[in-house]
Amino acid sequence: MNEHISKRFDNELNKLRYRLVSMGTLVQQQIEFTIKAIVSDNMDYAKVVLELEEKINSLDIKIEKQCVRVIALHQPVARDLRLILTGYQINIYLEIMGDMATNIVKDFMEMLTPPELIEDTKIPEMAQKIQLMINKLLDSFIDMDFELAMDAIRLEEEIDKMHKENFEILTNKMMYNYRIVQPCSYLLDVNRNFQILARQTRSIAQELVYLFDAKVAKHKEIDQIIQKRSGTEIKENIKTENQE
Amino acid sequence: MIIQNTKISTQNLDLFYGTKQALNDITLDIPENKVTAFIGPSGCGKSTFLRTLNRMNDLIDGVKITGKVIIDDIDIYDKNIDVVQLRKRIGMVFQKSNPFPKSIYDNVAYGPRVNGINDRSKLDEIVEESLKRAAIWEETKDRLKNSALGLSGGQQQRLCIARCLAVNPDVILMDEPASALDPISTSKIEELIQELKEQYTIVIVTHNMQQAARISDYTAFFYLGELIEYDKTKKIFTNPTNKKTEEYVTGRFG
Repeated sequence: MNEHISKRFDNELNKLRYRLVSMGTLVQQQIEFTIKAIVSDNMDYAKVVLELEEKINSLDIKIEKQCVRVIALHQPVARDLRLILTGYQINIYLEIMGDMATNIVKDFMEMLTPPELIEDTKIPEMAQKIQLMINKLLDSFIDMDFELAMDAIRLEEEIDKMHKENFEILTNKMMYNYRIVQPCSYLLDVNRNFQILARQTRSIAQELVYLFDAKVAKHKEIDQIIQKRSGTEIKENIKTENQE
Repeated sequence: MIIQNTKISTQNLDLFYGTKQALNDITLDIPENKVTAFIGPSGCGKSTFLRTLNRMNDLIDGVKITGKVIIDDIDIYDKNIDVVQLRKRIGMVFQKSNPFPKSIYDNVAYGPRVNGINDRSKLDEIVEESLKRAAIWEETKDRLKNSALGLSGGQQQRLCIARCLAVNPDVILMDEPASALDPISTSKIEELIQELKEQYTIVIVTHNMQQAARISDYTAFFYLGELIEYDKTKKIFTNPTNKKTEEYVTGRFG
């Protein structure tokens, strides 16, 4: 796609893209340091998460203001409009993810969690996969690559399974040893929060589908999204959309 | 895209100014009681195409047209067509308001008089009805005998629309009707267009893409004399199919 005649408009959109990628990278780093803090029982990592939160909050406001400004001053249409709308929405998802990572770390700083306890779970692997999801989405956003967004959704499905496995592992531990009920409860909370983080990341992937194809992928399974893109979706779905 | 209730249909329309081809194989259906907007950069052929719909190009020397323009199942380029009667049915509003240097009343009554209506009470009725439909009655009812040239630019343009409505057309062609007006007058014209489409088929050429997005149901994008894309306006401005259309509506060329 060529550049806009208005260089100012181009600069605004490029700046928005850059800020969204920065925001995603900061959230990805937050998750990386959150899991490092818990696994290694290291407060220094936890402090990094809190520092990153400040940067994320500041960037969140900048992105929000920028989206409003671009709409008001440039009246974007077509793919430019979709970039602003999805950018605005993705920013909200990322900011919430940042808040969730911060809350996990704040709870961690107030309680004793033996590192060996988490090693018996798949929580570290979940965290890794969430980071991988975010990286794939950032690459998908930069390269406008639909398949990478689908890869991220597939990873969310793996994370969902891990969430269930972790639940079993931790509740079993609690049943056999009442002295670890408190740290296990905390890890159950982390497990649940990581599952929600993965869902938020999946939502970002669905927003990207709208950005690329102008097709609403919200509340749809991966097969439906792919069918919709290839135009092989069942007619009932098309009918529902036309009625909208 | 399938158009229901087609009012105007052009088929393989070519137009030449001498040896220069200005329109190339234009085929499209314009729906009844809808607003259809033509957009595209200067010189793309959109105004030329608009003028083929009421044979205004006949007035230009050296113009040659091939293909068909069908309105209500009648080919308007058929040699038996009465062009005066045609232009009565297909009214036109221009970029620059062009009231006659006469009273407001006379401007509106002129068309019906030419068409043989001389009964004063009938003319009064037509003038009032036309001014009301053009949303300018309240502003002019107490000064119908005043010169039309004393009206503001926006009022003059609505008066021209009233003049167009007075001969009871089916279709109204508008060639950038609000491009010389301030934002308030533009809003009034746009609002008026929305009201008029209930009774008339409206085709509008506009350089203002936001205006096309706001007021039209269908949009056709022209480029270098060709129809590049024609679809529902919401599709053109959210997810156009053609790359060239997307580049134009997003301001990447023009």
